[in-house]
Amino acid sequence: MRRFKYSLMNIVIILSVVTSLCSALYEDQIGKFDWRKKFVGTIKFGYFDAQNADKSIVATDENVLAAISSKNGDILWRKVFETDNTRGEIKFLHVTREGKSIASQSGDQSPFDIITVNGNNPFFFRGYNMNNGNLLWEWSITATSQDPENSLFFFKEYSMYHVLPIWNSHIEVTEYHASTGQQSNPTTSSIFAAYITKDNCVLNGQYFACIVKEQLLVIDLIADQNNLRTKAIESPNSSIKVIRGKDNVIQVGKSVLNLEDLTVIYENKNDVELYIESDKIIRVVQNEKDVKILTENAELSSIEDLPETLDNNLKIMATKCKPKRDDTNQIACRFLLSTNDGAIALVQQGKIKWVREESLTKISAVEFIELSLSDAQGAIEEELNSGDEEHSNSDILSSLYRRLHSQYGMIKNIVLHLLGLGPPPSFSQRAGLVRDDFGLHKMMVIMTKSGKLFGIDNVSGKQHWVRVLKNSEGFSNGQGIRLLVQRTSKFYPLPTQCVIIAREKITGNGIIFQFNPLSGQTIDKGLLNLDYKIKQAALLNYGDNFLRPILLVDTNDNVHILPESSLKQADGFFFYTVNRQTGFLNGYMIQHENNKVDLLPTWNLNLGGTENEQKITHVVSKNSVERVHSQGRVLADRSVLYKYINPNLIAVVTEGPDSIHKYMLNVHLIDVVSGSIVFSMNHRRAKGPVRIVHSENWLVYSFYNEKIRRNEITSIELYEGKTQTNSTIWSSLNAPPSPLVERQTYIISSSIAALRETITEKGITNKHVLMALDSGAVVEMPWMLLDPRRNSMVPTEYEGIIPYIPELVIQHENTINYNQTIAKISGIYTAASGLESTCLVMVYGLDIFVTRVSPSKTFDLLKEDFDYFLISIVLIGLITASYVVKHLAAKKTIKQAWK
Amino acid sequence: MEQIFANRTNLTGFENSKLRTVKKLNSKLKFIKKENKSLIKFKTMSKSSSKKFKWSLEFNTKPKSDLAVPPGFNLSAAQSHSEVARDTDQNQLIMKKSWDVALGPIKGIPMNLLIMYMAGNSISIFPIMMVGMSLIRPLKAIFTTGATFKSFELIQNSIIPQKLIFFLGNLVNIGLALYKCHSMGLLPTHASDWLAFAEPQNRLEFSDGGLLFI
Repeated sequence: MRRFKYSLMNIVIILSVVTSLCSALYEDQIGKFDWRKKFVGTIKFGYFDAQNADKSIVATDENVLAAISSKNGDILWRKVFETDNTRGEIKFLHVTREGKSIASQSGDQSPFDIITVNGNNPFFFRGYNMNNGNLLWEWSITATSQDPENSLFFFKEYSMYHVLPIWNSHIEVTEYHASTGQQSNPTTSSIFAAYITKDNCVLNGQYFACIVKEQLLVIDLIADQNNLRTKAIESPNSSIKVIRGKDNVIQVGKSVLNLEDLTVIYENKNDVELYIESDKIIRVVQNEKDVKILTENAELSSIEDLPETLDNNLKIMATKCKPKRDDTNQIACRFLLSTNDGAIALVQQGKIKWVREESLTKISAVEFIELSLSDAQGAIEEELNSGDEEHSNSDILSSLYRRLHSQYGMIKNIVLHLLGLGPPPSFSQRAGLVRDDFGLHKMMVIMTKSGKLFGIDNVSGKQHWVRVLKNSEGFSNGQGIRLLVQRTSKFYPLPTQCVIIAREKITGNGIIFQFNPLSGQTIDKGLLNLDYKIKQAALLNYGDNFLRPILLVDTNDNVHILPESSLKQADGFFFYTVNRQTGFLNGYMIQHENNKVDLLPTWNLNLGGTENEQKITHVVSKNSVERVHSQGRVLADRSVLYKYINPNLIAVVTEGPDSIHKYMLNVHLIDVVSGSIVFSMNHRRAKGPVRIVHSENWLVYSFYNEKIRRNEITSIELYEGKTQTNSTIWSSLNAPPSPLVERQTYIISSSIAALRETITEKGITNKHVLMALDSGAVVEMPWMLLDPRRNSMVPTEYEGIIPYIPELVIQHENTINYNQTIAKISGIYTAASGLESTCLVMVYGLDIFVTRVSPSKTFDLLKEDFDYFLISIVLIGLITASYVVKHLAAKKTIKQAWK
Repeated sequence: MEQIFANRTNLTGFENSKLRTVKKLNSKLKFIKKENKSLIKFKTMSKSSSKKFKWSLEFNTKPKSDLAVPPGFNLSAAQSHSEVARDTDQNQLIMKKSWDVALGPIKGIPMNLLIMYMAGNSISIFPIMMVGMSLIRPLKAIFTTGATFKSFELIQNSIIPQKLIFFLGNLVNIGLALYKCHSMGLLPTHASDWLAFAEPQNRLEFSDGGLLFI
């Protein structure tokens, strides 16, 4: 009974806490400060709607099947398959070309227009309706032969064929009835072909073509007999590839062959991009600036002045041509093009109708950059600045003069502006890119994996600028292209500056690109090709002109500082590298001597275990712009438990197999200055994927518990104790003794796709942890619920700790993206706004969702529905009333005096 | 009539100067009495008697006895012979009264204690109001000590001990109120109360790095 009472009490407490923590949106706030952009990914297969080409059906590398409107590029419908390629990868797409649905033979099935094959054994065959994307039928097969991942598919007359080449042996062909999955023949036909090899063979439609020595062998997989034909080719080392657009055309070497009769129909001398549209060969001829799309005798389309934002490596994914109305025997075509950097463009009559930037599905780095000041604000700033500089001789008269001068300037500007004679507005002013009162308007600088750089408005979602960094790619070891902020917008007359550190695709050397993130314009030389390979990069803390210098370490352990004038600032900087494969951590100190900087190794650490079975999967440091306002935690007896806030602390996660426990997961907290291991934890029979956040004095990570088969989330807090060893200075070399550690693990019902903490300008606002769930929801989890000090003891009323309950309940009211599901979330980015209460959030994955959250409610902002009208009426009323009453009172006293 | 005249004529020279001093004294006394009247209500002196002065020149008094009353001497007023004795009496009374005032705060302590106990340690409007009052009242009293004891200042004895006791009593009251504040948890006596003002630690070392790029 007592127990029951306690649990009842707990429930009451939790309910009260949870309801007070709810921060759900009101219905009328939907879309007010959030937006979502949907994407599909880079096209793998694409077809136009055969009837009138008003939509295109695309299958992408993000495992998405979608219909895109030809008019404006909007997504009409979208099917997102599993992220996991063994189930979700789209291996085959067939769209009916006759302009009518494929009716099944017996007519008992509803007509379907689209067939897809997904996954890698089992293979899922699905039929869709083109207009609404409805799934009409689905069946799956599981191949029992070896290497089923080599499977190929084609569709012919109501039947799906599964082709499984067993390299150097034979080809297995199985025919299935398309809509039901019934095998037409009970057995799989096996075609003996010992000559087939992986690199020299392609399947196009029903023909399986291979280059064997100096011959082209073509196998007709449907024909019962005489299925093998040969043709001699010029050179034995020719490449073989499929020409899109028709099921029976391939290119061998430079000649384009029709596989039906093995005739050469075209010689592709310049090796340009080809496409077949109703027996016509379409060439894509590209120059520096313009692109021409030609048939043998006519120019179909020519795009002059290809925008710089499009990679000029265009590929035709689909075409739709129809004769022009004016009977000139010419055809008008619509092309669906895709570029190397992932963009999709629709070209019609020589014009680009629309472009979809699908590279935004693969984001490698994001930064929110504060906008610059408007001219008026800048003038004020300048006035104040000049006052600072001449601090000694800033007497009243001169500051009055400055004030009057700047006001005169403002008035002059206004007058000139009204007369239309003023200076032309700058780029940022034209675009409305000036800082707002609350600092909520920012520029999102997004670096994608394909080397495309975007500057996107976080309020409207508009792309203000796009840049393509040609030949750049991310680093190996899963290290994407780096985007670092060298100078923020706070130093007014100096421009904001960001830098991108990438790798050259061919040579592997480093690339540096410095630019202004607000305008997208290059700074200094712009793209800088380095003559060395970058091993690791870091951002120093101080530099001249508030520009944080970059520190680059090349493969020979030479240190490079950019700009070079900041060599001195690197002295005494601590630097560490982590080797994922070996599990080695190395710590260095940068030494500046004789105008030269060197790496001085200071410590090293092996986290790989004795046989290097543990692999480092995550290295997480704290956000460098984070500020911690509260230095401690108040306990129930009103004493303080001081936080262990070590800015040099990193968390290293290692995962690996274990002989006894099957899987081991270790988390180490390491001080990178001294190299000391502050704390270590290990989880037996636990494995990834690990998602981790490291902030202030805490660490939260999620993992999969293999033993009980559930997702768990662990939180750790570090405390220095009841006294602070040094309240003014933190030095890792003279660090306090090992901290007190509080830890707690919770069960979470959903697997987590991404974790991130909220961040605010001064760190006064509570921290919440944003959890992206696999279902596409992003939940704001109050730290109160993750608190490791929640334990099973009876709650102490003062500290306000909720009693421990193993399950972490996901409150649906705390979903920040309400019903706007974000597909395939890969990361969350948070940035502080000018308002202390508000944190800007960007969730990315297949879609991009931008919103803002206020973990402690908007305590520094009036509510949206604040009644300005009422309060001003009341104020005015009171003031007038007091004046009237004053007058009346005066009259009365005079009257009384006369009596 | 002649006598009077004679009397009058006698009042020359020396007499005149004497009269002037008497007048002066009278006016002084008047002033003191006026003050006393306003401040010390318990004075037993009747109003009428207060108007009878020891020395006053009355020209129309008829000699009641054979012996001529010295000019300027008021017989009826002469009855207030115990003036000096009465003055000491008054002083004692004033002393007593001043001690009453001085001991007032101390006498109030048990009552205060009771109220504080009854009010409890919860932080709500009434206990807060009570604590506020019990803090402000003694403070006010301390600052107005001079005014409170001003009326007692005319007596010869020093009233410094009274003032001291009064001050101490009020201090005790303030202490009580502070104790109450403390037990209510309103005093910033713990480290946690100053936590919000603690500045973040400045870092001496800066570090960066990460996974290898190659």
